[in-house]
Amino acid sequence: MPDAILLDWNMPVMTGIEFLRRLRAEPGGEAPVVVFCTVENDLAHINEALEVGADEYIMKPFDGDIIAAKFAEAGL
Amino acid sequence: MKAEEIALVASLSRARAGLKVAPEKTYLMESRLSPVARREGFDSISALLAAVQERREEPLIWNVVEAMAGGETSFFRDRWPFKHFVDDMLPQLARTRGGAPIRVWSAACATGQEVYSLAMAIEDLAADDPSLKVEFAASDLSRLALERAQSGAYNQFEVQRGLPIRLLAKHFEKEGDNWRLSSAVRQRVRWRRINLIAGIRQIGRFDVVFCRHVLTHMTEDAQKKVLEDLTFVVPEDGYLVLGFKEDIAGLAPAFEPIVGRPGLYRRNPAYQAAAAA
Repeated sequence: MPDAILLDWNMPVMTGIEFLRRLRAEPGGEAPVVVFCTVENDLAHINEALEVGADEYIMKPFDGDIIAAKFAEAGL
Repeated sequence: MKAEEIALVASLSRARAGLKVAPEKTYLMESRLSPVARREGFDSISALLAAVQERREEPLIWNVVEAMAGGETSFFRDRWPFKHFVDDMLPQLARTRGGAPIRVWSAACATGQEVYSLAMAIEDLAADDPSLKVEFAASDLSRLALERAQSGAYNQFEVQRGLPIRLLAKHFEKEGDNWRLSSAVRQRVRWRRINLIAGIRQIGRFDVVFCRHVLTHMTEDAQKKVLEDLTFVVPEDGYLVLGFKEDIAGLAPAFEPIVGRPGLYRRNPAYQAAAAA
């Protein structure tokens, strides 16, 4: 398992939220720090991500060193 | 900008607000003053400053000074002061205040992220401990900054600077392209326009004063005045919180640093003894 995953919501084959749901159900899948990075910037998406087990959430567009900061906030 | 225009801005900023404006930072002046010129209907900064000099109208002068005072801020900036506030200051003050509200002042709040970070923390703690009473006051020199702060509305870039996503989800609602803080948190804060060098001794007692990244932009004389006046505001067992790189050694014997807590200060008992003697 990786230590950290930066995850988009809208992807081919499988959405990010579906990926996260399956990841968290895997043995050891609770371990990686998962940060969403997506254009989906409303509360419904954010709450769903948190419920399924996302650690942090970045809304595009963003500026600066937010990716590093969000992983730091999430404990990495 | 011409040399005399730079000198005018620097001199007004120093005289009115104790601000130290570096003459070589013309880009900073231009980026701060362009919006003022536009807003006030001038077609250039030069036209704005010519009007300031000719008319000597107070509101116009203050528009210039307030723009130069504009501060950078973000939610939970530097992290540690917020942790120390919740973990150390609050429990200690709660023990000694005997149920009276703990009073906190964000002394140059800019667009409000600092005081709202504190207020969100208290909103969450108060849900488990209704006896916890904390009153927040926030002030700034800039009326424009205060208006924005009071609205509690921030754009997507601002809410992603330092604000954990769980707090965004819990305390904010989306309004168009902006995010607006809940009225429950907004209503915890009282707002006032205050010029820190105009005399703050009478504003009342505050157990904790956040005055971060402010003194750094002031002249040494202004820094000394603000710190001296703060001894009338911060009680003996209260706290003064400065930016962690702001060093006031030699400027304010009335405050002493708390070891291991960069930026955190308490009143200096030796200084009180000296004052009483």
